[in-house]
Amino acid sequence: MNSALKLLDQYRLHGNRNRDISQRLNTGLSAIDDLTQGGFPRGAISEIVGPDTSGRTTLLHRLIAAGTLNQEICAYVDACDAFDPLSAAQAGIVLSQLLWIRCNGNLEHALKTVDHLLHAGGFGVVALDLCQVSPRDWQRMPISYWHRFRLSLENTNTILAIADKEPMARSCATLRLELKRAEECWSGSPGFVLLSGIRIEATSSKPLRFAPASINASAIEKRM
Amino acid sequence: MFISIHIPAQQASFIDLLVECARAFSPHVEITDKRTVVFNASGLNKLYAGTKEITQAIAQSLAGYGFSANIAIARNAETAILAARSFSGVTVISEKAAPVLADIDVQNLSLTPETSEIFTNWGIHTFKELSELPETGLAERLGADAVDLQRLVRGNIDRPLLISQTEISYEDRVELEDEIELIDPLLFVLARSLNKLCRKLEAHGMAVGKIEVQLDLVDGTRHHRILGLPFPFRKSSALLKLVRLDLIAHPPPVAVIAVEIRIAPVPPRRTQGGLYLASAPEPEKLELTLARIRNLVGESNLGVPQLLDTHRPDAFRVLSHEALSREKDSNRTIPICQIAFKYFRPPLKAQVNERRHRPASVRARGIRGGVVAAAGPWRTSGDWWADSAWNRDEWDVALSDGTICRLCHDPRNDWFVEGIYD
Repeated sequence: MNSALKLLDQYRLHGNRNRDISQRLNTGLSAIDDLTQGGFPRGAISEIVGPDTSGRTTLLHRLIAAGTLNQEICAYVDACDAFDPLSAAQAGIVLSQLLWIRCNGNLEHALKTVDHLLHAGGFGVVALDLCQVSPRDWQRMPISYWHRFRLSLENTNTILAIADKEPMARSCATLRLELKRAEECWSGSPGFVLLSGIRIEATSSKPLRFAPASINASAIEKRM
Repeated sequence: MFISIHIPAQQASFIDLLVECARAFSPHVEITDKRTVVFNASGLNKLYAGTKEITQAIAQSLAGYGFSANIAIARNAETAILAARSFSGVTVISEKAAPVLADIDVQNLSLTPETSEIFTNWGIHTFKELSELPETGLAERLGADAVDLQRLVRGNIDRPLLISQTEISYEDRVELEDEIELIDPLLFVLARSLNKLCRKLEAHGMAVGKIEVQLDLVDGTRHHRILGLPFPFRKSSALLKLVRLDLIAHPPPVAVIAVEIRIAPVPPRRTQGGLYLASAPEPEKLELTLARIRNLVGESNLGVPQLLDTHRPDAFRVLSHEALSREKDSNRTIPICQIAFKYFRPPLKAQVNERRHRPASVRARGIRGGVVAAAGPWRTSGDWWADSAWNRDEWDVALSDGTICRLCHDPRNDWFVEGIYD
């Protein structure tokens, strides 16, 4: 009884900042799920960081696909109008459960949109795609947004997944995966080749884990 | 249990308001005459603790409309009507009606001149005297109608209500004394009308399906806005926010001198949440959130993507957010991991150096490098019969910086970077 009361007091004092995040969304990619100890944490910010063709968007699509498979409503905040619905459908995203918001390069609009969505609540995954945002725009981004997002997400089941080139949420992110392209795979004879896929290497820089995970992303259906 | 309300003669012209007031308590209202209504109040026991609370609530509502009316509660409609017509204030007849009605003058009944004269000759002046007459003798002398009258004064007549089915309109108009230029002061006026209409809708068990806001402007024109709601709303605060966001996006060009709101009523939404169903945004909150985002990014930049049945690259359309729905397909599984593609919209114009008819290096805004590997050309064309015709060669190229992008080469010898694999 006493220990239960102590736990209750501790929770009241510290809110849920120190809570053990037990609810996670499994991506269905065993390497990533092992690396993240069961999937992306709910009620927290997760970052997917890497250069172009490192598989950031592939992993983001995979996460949303897992959310829509779970019958959750998801949102894709597309800062630079780069989202490809065909790729998303091929990745398994149920498009009728996805709200797509295009910000046409306006970073401030993208951040305000995410803020509105998090306050509305009830979304499974809110994906913020900042991959094409220029470095000059990143520097102008107020850091207070990330604190605001973290507080909005507390005690919710929503995952805020951000895909970008450099880490942005810093201390506000609970999970940060750094991706890089290990190799691209071509098939066919020298005169007639076909991009068959890429191999992606993922490491977790937050929480820090040294063992990398490897994923193979197929590109065959792009040319069928 | 029946409740009758009787208003004074000088307020008889406001019978519509009296009916509206009665309908707030029961949908089954009979308009007995120009001053009296009666309704079945059996269900009110579930909402109020007792008869006293019911009468208090009705009296409060009547006072709100400015009526000084008589209220009577009885076991049958006719007794309630007689009591409301005869006694001022609140009358509750819970047991036998005859002792309570005993002293009422028989002339209060709708008697024919002959019957009235006969009763006067017999010395029958009150309900008590009429109720004590022998029923058989009364029937022999005055017929069945007189027996009905006797049963009426004894409080023994049960009859169904003749419910009036009038068309209910949900509209409110406010003429302003001074013109209003800004949106925020206008919202006070709109809030009052919306609150009133939402209370009325709730009393009738209905919800809002569509709102029409009509603003009469100082230049004699009208600013007309229609807000179709994807699902029925009832909260006036949420409706006000929606109207506000709409007026911010589409403000009236000049000052407003009159406000009119019309609401299309629809049956309310009934949903059963599943215990094991994943949570989803609350519809009211989602509607408000999307209205805010729409004001931010523009109406065309928000919606649900849908693929088009064509081979044309980047072919999709964006449906309204009303298309957002959960698909219940238990057999659905995630396919194997597919590499995603990202578009540059519009495509980046590129300078491409060719070697043996294959791209050797690429230079575009933000992309530069030698081509390490290339797959292609993939010739695609279609829709030659329409304006949306396309005809081009596509290449998948891996650049020296590690980026894999898609190049397009059109017949005019222009190169574009269409997007990157990511």
